[in-house]
Amino acid sequence: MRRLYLPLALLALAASFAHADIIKLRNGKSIRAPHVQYARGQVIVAKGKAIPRNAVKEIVVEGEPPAAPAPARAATVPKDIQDVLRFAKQQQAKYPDASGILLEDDGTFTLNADGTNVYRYHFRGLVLKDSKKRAWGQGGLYLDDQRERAKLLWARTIQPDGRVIDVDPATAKLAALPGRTRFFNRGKIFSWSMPQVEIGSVVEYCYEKVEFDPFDPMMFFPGFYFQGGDPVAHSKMTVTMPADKPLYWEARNMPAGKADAVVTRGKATTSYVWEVSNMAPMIPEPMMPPQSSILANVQCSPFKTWDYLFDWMERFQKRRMVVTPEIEAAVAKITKGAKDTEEKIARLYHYVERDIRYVSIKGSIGSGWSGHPAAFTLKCKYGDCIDKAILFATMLKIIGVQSEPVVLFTNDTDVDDRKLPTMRGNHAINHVQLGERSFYLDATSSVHRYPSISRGDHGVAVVNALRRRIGFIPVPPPEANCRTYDMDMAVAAHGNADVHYHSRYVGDYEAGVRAYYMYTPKTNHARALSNMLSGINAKARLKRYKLTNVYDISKPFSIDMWYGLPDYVVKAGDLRIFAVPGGEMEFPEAALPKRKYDVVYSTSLKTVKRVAIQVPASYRLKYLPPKVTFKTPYATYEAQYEQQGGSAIVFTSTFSRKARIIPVKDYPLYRQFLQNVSKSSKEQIFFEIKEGK
Amino acid sequence: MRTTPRHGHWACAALVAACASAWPSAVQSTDVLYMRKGEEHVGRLVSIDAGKVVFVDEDHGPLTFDAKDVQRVELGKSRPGDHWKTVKDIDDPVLLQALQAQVHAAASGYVTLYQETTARLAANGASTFTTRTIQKVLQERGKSAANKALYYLSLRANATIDFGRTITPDGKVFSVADSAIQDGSVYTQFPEYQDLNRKQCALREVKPGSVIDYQTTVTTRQTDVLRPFFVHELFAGSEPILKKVVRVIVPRDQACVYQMKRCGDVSVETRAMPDGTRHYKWTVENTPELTREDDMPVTEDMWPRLAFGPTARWDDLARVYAQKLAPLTKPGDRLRAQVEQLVAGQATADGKARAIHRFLVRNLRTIPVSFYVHKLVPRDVNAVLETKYGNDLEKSLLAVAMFREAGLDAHLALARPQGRGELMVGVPSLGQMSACLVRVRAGDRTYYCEVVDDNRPIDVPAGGLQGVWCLIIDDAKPERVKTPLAPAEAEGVAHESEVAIGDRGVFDVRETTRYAGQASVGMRNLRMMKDAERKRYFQQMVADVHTNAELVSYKLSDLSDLEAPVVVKLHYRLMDYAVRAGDKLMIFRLPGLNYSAYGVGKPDRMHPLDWTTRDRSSHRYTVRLPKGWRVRYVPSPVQVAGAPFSYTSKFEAKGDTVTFEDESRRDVIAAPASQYAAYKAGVEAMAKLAKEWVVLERK
Repeated sequence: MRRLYLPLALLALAASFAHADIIKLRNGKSIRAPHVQYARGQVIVAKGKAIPRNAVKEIVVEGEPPAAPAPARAATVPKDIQDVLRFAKQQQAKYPDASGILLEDDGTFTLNADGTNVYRYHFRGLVLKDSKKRAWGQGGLYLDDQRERAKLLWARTIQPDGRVIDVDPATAKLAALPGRTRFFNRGKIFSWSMPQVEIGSVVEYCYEKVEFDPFDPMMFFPGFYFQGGDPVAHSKMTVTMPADKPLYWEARNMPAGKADAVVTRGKATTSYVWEVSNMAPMIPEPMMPPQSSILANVQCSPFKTWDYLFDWMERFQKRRMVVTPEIEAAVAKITKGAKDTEEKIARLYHYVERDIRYVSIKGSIGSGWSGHPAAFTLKCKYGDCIDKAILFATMLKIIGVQSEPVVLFTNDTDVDDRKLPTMRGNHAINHVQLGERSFYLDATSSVHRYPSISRGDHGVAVVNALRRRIGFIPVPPPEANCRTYDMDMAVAAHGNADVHYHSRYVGDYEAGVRAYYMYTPKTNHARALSNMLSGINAKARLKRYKLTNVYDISKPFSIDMWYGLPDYVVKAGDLRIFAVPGGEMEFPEAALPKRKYDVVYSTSLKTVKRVAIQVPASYRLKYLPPKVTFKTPYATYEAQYEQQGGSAIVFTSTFSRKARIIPVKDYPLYRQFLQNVSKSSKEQIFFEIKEGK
Repeated sequence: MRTTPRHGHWACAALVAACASAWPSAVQSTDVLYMRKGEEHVGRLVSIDAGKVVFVDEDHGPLTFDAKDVQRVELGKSRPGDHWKTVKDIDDPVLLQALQAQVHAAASGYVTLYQETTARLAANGASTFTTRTIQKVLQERGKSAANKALYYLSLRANATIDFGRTITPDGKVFSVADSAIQDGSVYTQFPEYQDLNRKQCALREVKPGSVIDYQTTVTTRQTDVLRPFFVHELFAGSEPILKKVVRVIVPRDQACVYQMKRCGDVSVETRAMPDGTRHYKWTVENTPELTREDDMPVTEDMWPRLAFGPTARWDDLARVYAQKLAPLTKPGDRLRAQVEQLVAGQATADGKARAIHRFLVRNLRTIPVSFYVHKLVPRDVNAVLETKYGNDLEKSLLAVAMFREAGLDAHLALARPQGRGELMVGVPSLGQMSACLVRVRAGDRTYYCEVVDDNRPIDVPAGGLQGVWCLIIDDAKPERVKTPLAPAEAEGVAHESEVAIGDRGVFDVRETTRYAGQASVGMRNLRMMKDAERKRYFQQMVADVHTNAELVSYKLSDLSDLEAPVVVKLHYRLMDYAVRAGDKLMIFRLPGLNYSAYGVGKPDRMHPLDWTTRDRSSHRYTVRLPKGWRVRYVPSPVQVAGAPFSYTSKFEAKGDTVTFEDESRRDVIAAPASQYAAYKAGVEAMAKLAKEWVVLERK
């Protein structure tokens, strides 16, 4: 009898796995139905069964079938517990001060012939400090559950005494992300907890992520890091491709002899394997390159050239850069009365910066990679970097200026020369062609004065799909990132001083200073300036101040302060000693005697100072610091004190750094330079009181 | 210009128009259609039928797709007022009145024209909190008002955005789009602790001059002692509020209590309604924007504030809660064995307490999701011990069970940290408590300890939990007590430096620093670093003294030992540290004496001064001069008194040695604004001293 039930049971099982439409309701429940219909504001689930649209959040057409349960643990879990512990002990002896050691770090990417793909990851880590207990006590991964599903295949904690505590894969949960204030996306986190994790435990798990509905079966970009902040005993990446599909890769910072894949060609598939052992941990340094550019990693692509990606991006971008009457009207209004094209560009730039509020809404790869249509962004008055770039390019088109959105990595996140065609990047800005001039604008910010752009964009490669080329944004010359300080200081005989301070800026730094005052309530401006002065000199008293063009980003921003410095002059017997206010310079990037990595700044810099000091007649100059000039191929510094007449001293200095990156080989030279500058900046002027005064 | 629809056919346009007009209440809601190949369309779903999806794209007009090419459609929700297109369509009197308001706060980022919160407790214990906020954006920075977020506990409550709209300066009305609404768990990485959700949205068309009108409702299915109905409202914000109304509606026979602070002459209006409810209403008008100052109290302790809840007694709450927890704290065999093992060999009660505490902070991982945003009823203590992880409440309850198993008197203590403002004592509710401690008596010592931080010894409670009210959870002897405030000696840092100035002006510095209290907890984190990282940390630390510093060596006490004091010994050299004026004069400052007057720049102050803990810090320097040089000048002594803190310093030059000693001490954690002048003068005197020079001259 029991056999009779078997076909029915199989049928029921099959039915539950069959594709169906899914209706996600606002109360959190879901309904699966074979052929959902929608008409007249109702979702029709079955004949006679309709749901009003306001109760429905989402209709998923041909939704993913329910996930199969995780396979039984015993089938795949390594059983060699004692071997694991022995190996862990050996590694601990090798790295006794590590907080954790990655014993096994094994990722396998498989592209199927239909474009679906699977990523399987096996992690095994030895916990040696509390920080790692916290970090490795939880496992998790990000996924787009509309196209991907994740499954915890097995997980366990191995105690130092050999006891094994298994995790029930069913306890892993998928949860929606809450977004981050200005960021909206549809991503989910799949996570699980590891039990009984203590110092000495080995944490181990294996999960699988399947992209069951790729937006484009050609798009497959495996990437893997073999190194991090912890020692790695063994790390392996495998990519399996259908035999008829090529794979291209870029191996970065891989150990000698490990950059090339071991390739195994089969009948149906080709496998590529990279494998390393005993990778030392990365030790952070101040102002070092982005970690992704110094760690061992391999990035892969199915494309040799950018053509396919250019085509794909071009299609999406062009669809979004459509001129509408609304955009035309907006452009006409904004540019009305502008004297020339450059002023029109500047006005449009400032408009997109200020009037399009930064809000990032990512619903799919379309908006994720290419943003929303220009008209939509203009209508909503919000958007993120790519939304703004699309709108700005569309607006420029109306005034006859050619512009394209370009995709890049900001210089604090990655360094990528873009030789390998991949869909990677974290920012989008605009390339602009004005006659013979080719330059870049970044309307993402709300504070940059034309034509300055965020420092994060300086010195990076860009992907320009519409021009079908890889471009490069140069680091601007120091003059384009300049701060100028002018001070007039009058010292009185009793040691008080009065100062008029004027500062003005060019480039990204202006944007930063302006932003501070723009986003600080006006009622707090005086406090901020007073604190700044008090930080420089304990008894400084702000008398009055003027901030020019805080809110008008089209005009230069400047600060004027008039302040007093009671007891400014140090009286040491008949000596009178003081220095230029706020002149001391420190360089945290020069802290280490030796470095492993380059010193990396976000951009170039120029600082110009002029301080005119009037001293009382009773002061007789005893010592004036000498003129100094320090030079390296990367930066220069000049400072000079000049006595003008009997009671006037003028200090001038110029610090100019044209390089963004100081190669580590030249660090000793550069460090010495910074130390010289720092020492010079601490110089004091000495006077003696004239007899009888 | 319109583009040709990709799959569309214009024939369906008439149908689309006809269909769309059939649902006037939903006119402005926005749907988003996602294609399998990654494209998306914003507009309006018209139909799904016979393998075809018809959709009106906002920019491209009607489109028809094969259903197999469509991945999903997110349906926009229709909300009241979505059909308003211009200000002329608005028929809501509250909004119309708010739009008429005269605003005289042009310097503010935004102004709240009107805010109303209605909290309703139903007879069946369910509750709803509805808040409507109407704000006018005045400055660029005020645009942030258009990014809204709402937090709620998703396992027992629902949250809805009732409506959200922007009225632009030129009179257009834009409703919130569902694509700009997101709802998800704040703690996604902790699968068992994902209750707290954040629902956020961004409103459209926001610029200076725009008015935002936004309403949310949180509905809680059941309230009781452990899921309390508790209303807590502040009548001020960081920006000005023209009018704020709080209404509370409860069943008429529900005894309730409320407490107000700093509300001046604001009084409550109460009314018994025919529907069997009682209404309470408070109205506060024209509260100014907050002017931020350094070291100011938390806003809860500065602004007008209201607490409201069902009548209760603190003792009763503690008893009920204790009874609820009792079954969860029964020790199992494993727990007993664990305690036995931990206290074996510990002769004193204090030793036992420390051993158990050490085990809990070091061997059980802390899940950083407080009970306050999870639940008041935790897992059974034996389960927590079994999994070796738990949140603050779970670990605290396990601590209580283990201490008791060891024969110690221990209780759970729910507390309201300093950072959330003073406890509203007159409104007993567990909803006011957001931290937990364990009170354990060990011999003649009583600890109020935390068990969540693996760097925190049993006798160093977090600063924010010192001097605060807590409720001792006990069935037999419940009580409400204040946690002790640690003495100044238990906090702060003491430095001792031996400095030798070499003939070439190189400063050889041997510095010993002892860290106490909160500072010691922070320094213990260094144990997580690798040796090379620690070395770099100290290299950077000495480079803060001077760019030319070179670390010679460093030595740390055993940071893993929670009982041992935290001591750091540094040996470093400062090249070219002294400033010279020709060959005859040399001046220097004491290396590492680094006081700053930053924070006291303002000449006067509006708000009281506020700190988390008491503090005592000191420096001692012995500086040996190079051969052939003598002291020409040392700075004068500094003595600060009459401020909320005291400070004394003294330089002394004797032979070839200069010595310096100082001590700053603050025995209070709050001071009125009237003491600011003295405080400022004291801080300035310290900062000035740190910039003073010792002048040497060649003999």
